[in-house]
Amino acid sequence: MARARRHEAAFSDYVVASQDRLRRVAYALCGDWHLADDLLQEAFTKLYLAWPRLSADRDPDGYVRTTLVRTSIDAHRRRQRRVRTVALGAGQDPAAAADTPLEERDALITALQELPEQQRKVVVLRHWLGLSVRETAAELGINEGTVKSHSSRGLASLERVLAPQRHG
Amino acid sequence: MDLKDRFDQATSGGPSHPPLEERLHHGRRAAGRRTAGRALGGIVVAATVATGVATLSTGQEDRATDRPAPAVSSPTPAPALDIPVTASMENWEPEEWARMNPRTAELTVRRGVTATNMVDPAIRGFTSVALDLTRDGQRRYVLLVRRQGIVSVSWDAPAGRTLREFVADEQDPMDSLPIATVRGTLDASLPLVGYRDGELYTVGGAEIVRVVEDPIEGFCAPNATAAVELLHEGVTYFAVLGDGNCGSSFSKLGDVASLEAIVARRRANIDWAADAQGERQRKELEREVAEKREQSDRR
Repeated sequence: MARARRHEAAFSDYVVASQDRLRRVAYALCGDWHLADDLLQEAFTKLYLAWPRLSADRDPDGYVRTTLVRTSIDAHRRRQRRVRTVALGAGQDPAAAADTPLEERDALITALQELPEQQRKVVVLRHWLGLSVRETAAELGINEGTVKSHSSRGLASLERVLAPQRHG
Repeated sequence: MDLKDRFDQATSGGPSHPPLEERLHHGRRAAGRRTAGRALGGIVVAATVATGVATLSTGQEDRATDRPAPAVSSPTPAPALDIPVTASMENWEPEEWARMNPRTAELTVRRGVTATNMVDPAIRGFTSVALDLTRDGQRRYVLLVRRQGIVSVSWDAPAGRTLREFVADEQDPMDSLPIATVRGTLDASLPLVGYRDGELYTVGGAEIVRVVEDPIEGFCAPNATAAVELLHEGVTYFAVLGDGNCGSSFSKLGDVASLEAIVARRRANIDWAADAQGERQRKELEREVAEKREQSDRR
């Protein structure tokens, strides 16, 4: 019982410390803050179950990230039919928008959502989170050649969409 | 601004997180469901395992076992290798034939897969194994490499190569780089420079003009970091990067004025991110303390 409490305390510390950065990854993958919350909650629930055997075995960030990227986000999105109400401006970080205009920030996330799901995941893992080709392949359970082709196609598509917006 | 910075800014903000208690509640409920499911399914599971062992002991293919896999230590290639087979089909990706435990480096192959040759270590300085595998009459080379707790896997048909030649083909250092950089309007279409395992790598034709080691205190610690100015096809590029998955910054002359300028920008982003993260955590903790106090007052 004491061990279970220790696990839960450690898990709680981890959640509080990591939920912000991990939800940003989920948001980049799905383009919707509330769906991102749902995806992250699912990942945290799996992590909760795995926590006792995971602590010594694997980096929890890696576990959650793998859970997020191996989730079928588009299928999840189609299943989501709930109506939500959110307080205006809830939790918005005013410092966050300091450098980039809102429409440009939105454009990147919107353009990303236009990519096929696997391309989107490759772009996020490789070009935002900085994983190598090998690591991205391992994370997604695909081979390295596929990572390379998804990466180049994904970037080319983003460029086509964002270039007119940036220069227009 | 490079793609990483754009992502950083595009994903900032968002609504408040749900209370920690809600996060825990989902986990506890799932754990409760799992415990109940185990109690109900115990007899069925035992029967399934017994059937599985009987089938496998007829010796159709490999020595299937569900005992813990011993570490593979043979340094020399050998025919008909005694690599443990994972009996369970659970959690194998369709194209996954072999697997390395990221913590212990223990190696297992999928049921129905036979290993006939091995190079261990495949890459000097890394926990890595290359295997010559056969499954259903199909032959394949597989390379498993553990780096920073992550096991990556790549494979290919032999195509007339030896296993060592396959390993050499898989070792393009640019593929191991943590991020792509500066080319095209998105500034992220082609890798030019990268840091890996203590070495800076560049693509052919890129010339390193200047390197400032560890330009920002604490960035990517404890990994080595560098700010790099390089010249490629007549264009000057700048990078701030680390020997780890810490995110890197890239730009080119014109978008930023100098190497010092990109270092200053990167430093400012790190400071801002740390402040924002600290502020959010502080608010989160304050709210939890207030909630607990309120619950305690009610009692």
